[in-house]
Amino acid sequence: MKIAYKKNDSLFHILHPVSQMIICAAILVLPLLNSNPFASLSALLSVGIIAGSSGVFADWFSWWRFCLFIFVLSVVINAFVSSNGSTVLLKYSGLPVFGRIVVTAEGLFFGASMGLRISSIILVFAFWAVAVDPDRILNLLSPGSSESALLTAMTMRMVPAVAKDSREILEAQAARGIDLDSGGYIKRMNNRVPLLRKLARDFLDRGISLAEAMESRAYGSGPRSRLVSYVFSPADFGVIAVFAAGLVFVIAVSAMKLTSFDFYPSIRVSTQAQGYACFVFFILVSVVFSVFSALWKNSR
Amino acid sequence: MEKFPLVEIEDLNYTYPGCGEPALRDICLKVLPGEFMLIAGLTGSGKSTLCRAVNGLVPHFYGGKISGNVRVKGISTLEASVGELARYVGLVFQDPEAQLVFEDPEREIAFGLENLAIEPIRGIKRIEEVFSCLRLASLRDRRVTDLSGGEKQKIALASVLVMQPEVIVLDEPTSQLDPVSAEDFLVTLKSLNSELGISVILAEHRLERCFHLADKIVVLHGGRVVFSGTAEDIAKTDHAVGMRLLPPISRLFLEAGYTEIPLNVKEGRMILSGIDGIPNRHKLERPDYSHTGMIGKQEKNSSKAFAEKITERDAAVKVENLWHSYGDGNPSLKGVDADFGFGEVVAIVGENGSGKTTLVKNITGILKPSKGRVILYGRDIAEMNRREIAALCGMVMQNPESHLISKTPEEELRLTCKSAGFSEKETEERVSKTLSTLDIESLRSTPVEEISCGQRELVAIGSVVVRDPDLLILDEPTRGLDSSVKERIASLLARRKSQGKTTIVVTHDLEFVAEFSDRVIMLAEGRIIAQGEMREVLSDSLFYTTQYNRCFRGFASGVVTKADALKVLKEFA
Repeated sequence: MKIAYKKNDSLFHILHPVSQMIICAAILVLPLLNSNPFASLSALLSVGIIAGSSGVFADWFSWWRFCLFIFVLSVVINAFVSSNGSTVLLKYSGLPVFGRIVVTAEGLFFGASMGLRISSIILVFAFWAVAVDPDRILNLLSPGSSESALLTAMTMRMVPAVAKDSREILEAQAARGIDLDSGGYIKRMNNRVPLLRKLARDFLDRGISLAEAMESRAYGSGPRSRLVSYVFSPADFGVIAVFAAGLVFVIAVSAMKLTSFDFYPSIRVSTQAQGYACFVFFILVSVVFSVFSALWKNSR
Repeated sequence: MEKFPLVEIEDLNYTYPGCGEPALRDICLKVLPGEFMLIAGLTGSGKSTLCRAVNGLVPHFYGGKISGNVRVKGISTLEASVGELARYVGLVFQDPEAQLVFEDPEREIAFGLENLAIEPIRGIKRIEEVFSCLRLASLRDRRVTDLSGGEKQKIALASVLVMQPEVIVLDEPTSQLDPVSAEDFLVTLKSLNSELGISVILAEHRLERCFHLADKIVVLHGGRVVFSGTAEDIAKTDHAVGMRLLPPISRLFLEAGYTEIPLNVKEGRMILSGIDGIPNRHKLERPDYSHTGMIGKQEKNSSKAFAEKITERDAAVKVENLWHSYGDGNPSLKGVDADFGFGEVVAIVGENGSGKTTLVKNITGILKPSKGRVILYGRDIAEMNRREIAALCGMVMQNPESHLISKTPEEELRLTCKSAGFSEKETEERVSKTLSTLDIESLRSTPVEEISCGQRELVAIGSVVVRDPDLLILDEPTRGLDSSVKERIASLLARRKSQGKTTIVVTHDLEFVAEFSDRVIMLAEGRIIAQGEMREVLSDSLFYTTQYNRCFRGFASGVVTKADALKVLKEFA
């Protein structure tokens, strides 16, 4: 799973951070407010199309295993714990811990829908992680809380550095023949204690070095100014208008229960035309965005 | 008329908190406006502490006991805060990774100006100027994580330069860089000094690259100034520490008994051109390479041709058509064929990203080949488990810190022995022997955090060689180290060679390669572009060769090592 932001030459990447936030928020609200599987599907497709047009599809898609795991887990757990639903597929009593279980088609479908819903939410956040520059977001938020923004930026720089350190330590220990995986669970845990101690020490050393470097550049010597700012382009106005409209649309149809989908006692699709229109709207908008993205790239 | 000094240090004594011994003793120095001062000294001599004393980090950040005075533009660093001094003094640290705050280069450069509350209209102009002056435009849209060490160090320099300091202090800024990036960085630094008139205080290990840049050289030893003068002066003194710090080319002429001492290759060549009888007439006897399978650098399909020839002799390790790709799908190794004989010291050279480390990690089984195979002492490494590989082969990583997970050197070495399953008696014997071989017996129970950089490298090497592996791989073992540590590594190589054990050294240190390796493999973009006897490969290269070879090119052929050069010089002295 790729968690680090990847800079790319795409329309999405040059947008103002506010525009990027609105795109992600609009798509995220879709599965967040609706249990309707079509809403989750619409969010999944939309974010996938935008990830593709932003050149980060491979990094974004690297989350699929985790999402598949969540999906399967949701289906299995729901099958065991929910006995709602009228179409009984399996009944069994005397199962340890669970006692009597009743597996229903509706329960399985609900589990699958929830798995899809959680996965689509995770994948919107995954897209956020790989396509939105955290420095730009923090810079945007910094006038309100400059110190916490700076602390977060430093932590974000530390994360890949510590990951690199831990990989190097593991390789170095393997290269000198230290077998960390010998023995039982407790011994394996014990084997790792010196590594964790070393990592903690390195992390502290890095922190001290960074503090030293920051103080050398006058950090903490008085009030700060702000030099890096971002300007809105015509593309930003278009994106904000369309996705903000989408955000309002999805909130409205959800509030008016036009996207209803009942799972129990039997599956009943009560989604209204406006609800479907909202789902399709997001997919269409994403396709249009990717077309503009391609045109923008060709024009450069 | 005497110039008013920009930095003035008077009777400076400093002791870190909790330390008995002072790190700096009775330091008296002056740095004039526009002066380029080089601070040289062995590991632990106090160079870094002195750098930090100039910008006030010592004592404001570290605490400790201080006496004497440090003044920058007449302002006492004891009275002014580090932030106030930042307007006059910029400090660039050793590790580029540890000093950058942001992922965005532009924000990184803006950080110092924002801290000084510079208004946007002036700040943006300054940022643009720095981008242009240091030619950083191509880095603007990249992430700091994706930059090379040299590029990160340039961003660090830019982020200091943008604050328009009057003096830039640099604490071994090139110690983590490859030779090309280091050279590039130092050239940039010199141009800032000569074109903008900014004073520079540079603490360095790699003196051969910056000796000639300095107006004044200060040599520290045990926290004291043992020499202060020009580069020419130091070459004329017979101070032991000063001698060890001289560039190889200067030491060569001194040892040959010349009175005129060059400070770089250019000056060396000028001296040679004035010696009667030398030009184009002297030839060292060239060995016959026909039996070794050596092939010329320009020969096409070199690695393939070499692979056909190596079957004629035994090899401890064979690499056959090795390909390796990381996650991005781009191959880092592209069909490498090589062999490593019993008792050989083989150097692998090439620029950063050429695949050197990837190759040796495949040999140790840390990375798995995408295609091809590695035969380790007759067995395919793919069929061996970690324990079997570790019994035959050990590798010391580029960053020695990653080896050191115990509290003391003794515990570190014992950990390896325990993992190898040695008895207590055998462990004690091996630990003592290894500590003594590497001359770090006195550090046996010293906490790892308290020992110097070079000594840590030796402990890291010890943690691998205590197992006495048949194949030892050292990845950049001499980077940023002084000659005393290099000598100890060299004696280890010699000992292993006499025992018939194979050693592979990945390095940029070509003087080290010339003195201690038997063969050289040169990589570029994942392919072997030359391999063969050390002398043949290095004397056939323009850039990847020793300073001796560059100096004597055209005057005497086959000069690669110091001994070769001395022989020629003594004949014509």
